[in-house]
Amino acid sequence: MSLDCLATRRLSLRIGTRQLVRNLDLEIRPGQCWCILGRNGSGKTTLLHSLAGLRPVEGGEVLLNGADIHGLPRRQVARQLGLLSQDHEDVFPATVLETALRGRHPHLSPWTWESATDTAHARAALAQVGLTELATREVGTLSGGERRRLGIATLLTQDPRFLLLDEPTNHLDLHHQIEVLQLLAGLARTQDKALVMVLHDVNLAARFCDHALLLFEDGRHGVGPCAEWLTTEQLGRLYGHPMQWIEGSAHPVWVPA
Amino acid sequence: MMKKAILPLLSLLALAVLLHGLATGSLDLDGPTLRAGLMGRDALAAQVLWELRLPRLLAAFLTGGLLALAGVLMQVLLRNPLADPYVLGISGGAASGALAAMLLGLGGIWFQGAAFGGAFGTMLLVFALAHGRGSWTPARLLLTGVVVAAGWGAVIGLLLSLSPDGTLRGMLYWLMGDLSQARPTAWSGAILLLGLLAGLALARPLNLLAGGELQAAALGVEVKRLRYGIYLLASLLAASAVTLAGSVGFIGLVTPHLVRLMGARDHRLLIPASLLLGGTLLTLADTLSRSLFAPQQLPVGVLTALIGVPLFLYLLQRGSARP
Repeated sequence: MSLDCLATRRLSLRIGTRQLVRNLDLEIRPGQCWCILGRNGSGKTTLLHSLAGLRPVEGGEVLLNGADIHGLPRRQVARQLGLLSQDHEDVFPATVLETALRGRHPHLSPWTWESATDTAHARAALAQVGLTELATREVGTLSGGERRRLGIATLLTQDPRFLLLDEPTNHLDLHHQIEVLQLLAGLARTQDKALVMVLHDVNLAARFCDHALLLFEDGRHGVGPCAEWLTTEQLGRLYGHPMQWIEGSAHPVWVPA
Repeated sequence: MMKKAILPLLSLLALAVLLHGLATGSLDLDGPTLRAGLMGRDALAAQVLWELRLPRLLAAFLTGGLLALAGVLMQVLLRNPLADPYVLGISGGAASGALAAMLLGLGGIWFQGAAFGGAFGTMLLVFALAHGRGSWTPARLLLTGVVVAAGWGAVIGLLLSLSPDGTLRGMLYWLMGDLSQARPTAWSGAILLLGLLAGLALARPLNLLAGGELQAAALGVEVKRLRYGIYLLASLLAASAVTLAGSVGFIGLVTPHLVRLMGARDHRLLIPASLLLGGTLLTLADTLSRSLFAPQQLPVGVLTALIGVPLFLYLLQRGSARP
């Protein structure tokens, strides 16, 4: 097995009595941009958390650079792999910059404070998602979309090799959806990062991702290049609703039939 | 307020309140007498200062510091700004032990042992019950603690109703928090120091935990281990505080918020600042409790609320910073 990859071997996931994934073999390599598609409750988030080593698996293994992710110290994992979760929990007050700076944690030893370099990292990340002006604002005063972009900035500050994102376009307006996905997909091309994104918009997935993981209702899955799996027939089967392909657009477009 | 100035300012405030406490009481001492007493040149003043006031002031400062630290930790552990050191039943357990000891006429080390035993036993009980078969969420821990605390409330009511009138007053004072019998002990000082050092060592992970458990784990925090550590530490701090001075209310809940309102939200600053402010507030409250209606002494718990409530509401209303 190659060393520079996030992989699963015969991975099985279950919630309660429901089998979400059975015997999944997956290899995610730097430079690749993956989407995870499926209906509500099909196990997209569970799979993403499992890939991050944040929940026990019911069978098989998750391998980070060839090693079982559950056997690695969390700090070591966090230097390699980051997660943007679906929601943000802000119970206690913090500023935007303080929140972004949390991304540096895995890179700092226990008794050190963030250096000027760390702050520069965080500011650069905030600039990338267009939050520079809001650096001193309280997180509680942000709009949903701004908070989402701050989550992405924290992930960029963490600067891991593998970026797992649970619905990164949640709460974002059309403009920011495209901008954020361009930014993220660009990381795969220019910085050789690997991205795995849970997405609900198949058109955005087809436009920005090169690999797809489809989680079907019956516990089966499809893994492979987008060209192979993002087809009218497979998408119709995935969502349990016939899809229609719209011709003549610059990017692939499906609409529910 | 400038963040860098918070610790020096709070230190100065602590010093001022300690000096004020030394000078104030049924016998007010002016500057020269105070100095003479501290140097041992005035026998009466020396006795009042070294044997009565200083130990009591130190006990107050220790208790306040312990409570404030425990409050900071409990609020992060339960991810609930309303949590205080007693929310998981620690003070109820300590009170049940202490009142039972009073009822049996036990004093000194037995009395303290009973209070600490009640607190520590509650900590183990809540931990075991909340842990169940391995799923320990903040909500489950909080519910378990609140229900156990309610159970202790019933035990306290029972003990009070069984007690003869002669001991009732002492019991009520203890329940409200009372420093008149409190003496600083080496072990409570050691526990406060341990709490401060461990708190500072865990400060950055605590910042992350405050932002959510999943996010903290994704950023490299060993969340489960950290939670166990905080729970143990916060319980130990709270148990030490109640053993010293009974269940002094309000300090543990409000001090962390006051410090946050001053602008210190990073736990590396929040932890030492809360310790200083908690100690200062309780010292001030205790000085007032023994001087306002001297020679009559009020239970200090009454004063902590009387000072804390308007101060907190004023800062909250000013609205310059969110809590």
